[in-house]
Amino acid sequence: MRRSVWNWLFLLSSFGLILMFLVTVTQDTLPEWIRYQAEYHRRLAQVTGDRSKAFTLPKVRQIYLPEMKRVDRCITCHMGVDNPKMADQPQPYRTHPDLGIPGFLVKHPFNEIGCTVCHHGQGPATTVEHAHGPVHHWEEPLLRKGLTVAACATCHQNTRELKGAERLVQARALFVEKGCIGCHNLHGKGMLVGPELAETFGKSVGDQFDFKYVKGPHTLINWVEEHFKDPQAVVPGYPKIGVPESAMPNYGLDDEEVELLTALTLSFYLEEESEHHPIPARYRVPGTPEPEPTYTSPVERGAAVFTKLGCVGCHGPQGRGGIRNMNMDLGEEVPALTYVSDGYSKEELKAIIRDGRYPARADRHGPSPPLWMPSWKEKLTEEELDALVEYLYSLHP
Amino acid sequence: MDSSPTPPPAPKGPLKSAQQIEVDESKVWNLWFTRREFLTLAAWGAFLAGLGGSLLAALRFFIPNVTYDPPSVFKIGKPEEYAQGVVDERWKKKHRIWVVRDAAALGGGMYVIFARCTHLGCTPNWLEGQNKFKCPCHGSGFRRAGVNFEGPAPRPLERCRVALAEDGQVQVDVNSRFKDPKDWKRPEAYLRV
Amino acid sequence: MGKLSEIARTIRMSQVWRSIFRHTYQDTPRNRALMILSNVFLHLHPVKVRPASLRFRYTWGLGGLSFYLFLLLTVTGVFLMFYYRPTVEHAYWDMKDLRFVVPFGPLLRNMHRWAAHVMVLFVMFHMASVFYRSAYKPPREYNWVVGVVLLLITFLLSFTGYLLPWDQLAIWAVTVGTNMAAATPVLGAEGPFSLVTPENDARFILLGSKLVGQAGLLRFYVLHCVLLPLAFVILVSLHFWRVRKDEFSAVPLPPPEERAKGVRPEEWIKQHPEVAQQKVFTWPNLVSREFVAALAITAALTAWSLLAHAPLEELANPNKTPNPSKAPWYFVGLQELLVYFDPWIAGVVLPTLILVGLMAIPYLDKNPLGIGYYNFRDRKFATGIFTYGLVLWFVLIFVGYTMRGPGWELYMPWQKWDHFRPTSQVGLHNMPNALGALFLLAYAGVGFFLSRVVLKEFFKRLQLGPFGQAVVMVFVLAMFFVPVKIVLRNFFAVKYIFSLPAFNFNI
Repeated sequence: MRRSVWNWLFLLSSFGLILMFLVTVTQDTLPEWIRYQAEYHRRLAQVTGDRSKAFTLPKVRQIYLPEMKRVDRCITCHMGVDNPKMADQPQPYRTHPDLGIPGFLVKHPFNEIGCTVCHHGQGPATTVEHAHGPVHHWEEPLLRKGLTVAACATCHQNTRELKGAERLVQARALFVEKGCIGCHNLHGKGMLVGPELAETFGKSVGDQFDFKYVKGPHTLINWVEEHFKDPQAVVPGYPKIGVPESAMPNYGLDDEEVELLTALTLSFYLEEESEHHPIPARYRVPGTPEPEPTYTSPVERGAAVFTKLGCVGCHGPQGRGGIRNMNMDLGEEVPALTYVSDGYSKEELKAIIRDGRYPARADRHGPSPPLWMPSWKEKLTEEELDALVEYLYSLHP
Repeated sequence: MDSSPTPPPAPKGPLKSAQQIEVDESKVWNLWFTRREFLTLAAWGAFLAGLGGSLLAALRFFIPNVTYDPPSVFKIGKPEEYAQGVVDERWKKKHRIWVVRDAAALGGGMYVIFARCTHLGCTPNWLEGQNKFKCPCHGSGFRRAGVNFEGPAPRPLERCRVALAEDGQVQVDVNSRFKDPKDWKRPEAYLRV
Repeated sequence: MGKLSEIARTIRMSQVWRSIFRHTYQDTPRNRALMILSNVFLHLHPVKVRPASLRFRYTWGLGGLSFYLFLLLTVTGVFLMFYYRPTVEHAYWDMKDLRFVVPFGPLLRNMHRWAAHVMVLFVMFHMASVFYRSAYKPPREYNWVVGVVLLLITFLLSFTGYLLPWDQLAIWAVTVGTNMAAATPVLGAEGPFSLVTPENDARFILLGSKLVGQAGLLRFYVLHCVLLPLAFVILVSLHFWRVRKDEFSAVPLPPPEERAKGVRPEEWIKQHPEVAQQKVFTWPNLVSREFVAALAITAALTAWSLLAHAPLEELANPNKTPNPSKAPWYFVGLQELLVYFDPWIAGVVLPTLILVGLMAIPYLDKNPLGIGYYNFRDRKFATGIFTYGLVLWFVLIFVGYTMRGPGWELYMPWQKWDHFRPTSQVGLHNMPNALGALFLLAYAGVGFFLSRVVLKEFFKRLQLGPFGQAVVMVFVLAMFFVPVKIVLRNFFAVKYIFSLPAFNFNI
């Protein structure tokens, strides 16, 4: 190369390096969070009337929780979480709310709990985009307000009677009402048609979820919510490779119900032990077992069994039917149970419930029907079985 | 080949050639190397042997006698806890196995498949809807029994050694596996329950 | 001003100064020589070089820059070592710390990562450049072999470093790579004719365990930071020493009007022997070029490091296999070959053949023409075969890197990845063994026919005896076997040509 080319290269490289050095020094000495800290100190000085507070050196602040394998740097920007005087400030300067529960903040000290165990997000990050997300390769973005209640289940096994976790109780009622356990399994118990619900939020966003028909960000929360709203739109099936359309019924849920159920599903995942983010044993709050309900009649007991086992999931509320079972030889819907007393003796019913029944395909070349009658003999005592059959007989109008 | 340090006395008279000097054969050791050469060779030999030994020792150094991997033998519950005709995934996360129970028509026996693709070791998934195990790395597909039928996997999924423990539970040894379908009929690979 | 120069003079005349700096820095011929001769780092250079050695387009600076990148990687690497802990608990989070809280952490980490990729690329191009200008021909054969070993060490350095961030990308790339070690014949538990168990095979020695875990992380860390850099430094010293001892290969080129007439440099030098004797001072001519080249690449790397963050995926999770799981880009060509060959062939035999073949080049290439300049027309066979191999290597990398999606299915660059696409790998069958054996024999026969009939004159000119010819044909046949298998697989749905499942031996 000619000498002049070398000279130009020398000039360009040297000045380029100096420039880039200045850029990197600027990036290092003036990171994003400095603005928030400066603003916080200004506001604090205003609120307290103490001018000296406005001039504090900027510093990264973190809560290091080695037992939980977490380091939370949220407080680098959210400087006011533990200062009650900042309750009227906008975010990120505001005090942490007490949710109207006396003693809540005392029982959840920041330096022992941190932030991300309840709010998720990327604790080690020091920029807004990376800390809150959603960003690639961090699969726990910040939870919005309506979903934070799911995190209570991380430590609390007593969410049934926990103040502040009422939405989880509501969600659970909805869960039982819809009979989800009739198709899905949860912590290893239930049916195998649908996936294990406690694993949903532990799966890998990149490979195990199809976002082709999902609008919005590619996060698990978004997928689950869209799926609740319209399962068939999100999972329309791929006949070419034998993947059928989603067998999950469209319950016509409104936004609030969708959020409740999403929070509940998330809580299923969080309440399991995690090697990745362990919770020390002393943080766990044990639950009390549900009291055994008393029943005034076998029919009532049978109704409770019907709900508990999730029969609703396939046979519909009060056995009304209406749930699709594609390619089944008996028809396109799971049989309703309203008239079983006409067609079956009690012994016949008990036999079917005990042993189960696999429907055949209507079209031999189509996929197998996704729903079948499983065997319940391990999950029912004889008394429960009797009560259930009584209840089924009582369905006849 | 005299290796004596002192030179022989000067001969009286003209030198005789080697053939004229009388030698008592019985008193000479007819060796084809000298003592010096022997010792030199032995010393270098010892050095090389030491070096070679050290090299082998160095290689052995890199094979630890213990590893901190999680233990490989464990119990997975009683056979009755596994439904017939089902590929059970409850131990997939913890132990990386599927517990498969044949449908009643096939005898209802149990076997444990190790969830490692025989192509390059990734963890396949059980696709219930398509009735097959499918590996995400290169697309290998396996039937319920573990037999490979699509993709680059060269052989079927391996089965783990199973046994019925005294307490009636099924005991699995993840480190002892059967690759060849010919071995799958053996009682160590297939529990008849 | 006068006072200042007085002080400067006093300093320069002091004993302290003169004990350190043994000559002055005025620009005299003597000082130009002394700058090189009396400096421990620079005295590897000769005092004077032929002007031909300064031509940028001769070497493109690739060798020197590769070494400079090694130095840059060492420096950035040492800085990183102050914050990185090679344990399963800490490695990933220390990487996050480097990104978010360590001063200049992002710049250092990014520079280290991008410089590593550039170095791997540069050493490959350096090798190609040396080949195309015949700078491996006698007396430089051994230095070429040392260079191939350095290439291998560079790959291994990059591979061991790849694991250290302990994210999903790291753990699965290393899983793919170490499982290929398990496919080694005899010494791998899953290779053909295996004599070992998974508790003591080649993969176990690499990882110190049956799983990719803490033991493997520590071993790779020691390999990456200590053992491999040491080996590299020793060999690269030998490499430079040989360049000096065998004289730098660049020959003076004839002027353009002679070149246009087709006059070769060898002939030109014979006619004008004085041209070969002309020399210029290394300081400043060569050293200044080296300096600016190093500066320029540093500037380019810094710019790239400021603009693009090196990837850090999710925390390593042995239970979640990403789909697809790809090896680092320089190994992804071999991973692509796994579609067509068993692991022991694609991951062990072929790479071994490549390395051995590369090392054998100087001993098989008896063509004396072309040393010290780019000559394609007088060495068509060599250039053709090498270029074919180089292009095949990069095509495989390109396909594996950009065109393989979930399930390792083929995706055009404009197609979006779809985890629910029907698999294309169906309906494959094996050739019956008798037919397969016949096919392989016929293929070998083609090679034999080519070498004995078609290329007879060519080999005679090259003074390659029957053994040399056989070796050349084995390598050539192996190289062309790859597209043969690709065609058989893609167009005839053949999985194995010859298969002995009992021995895990499949071709």
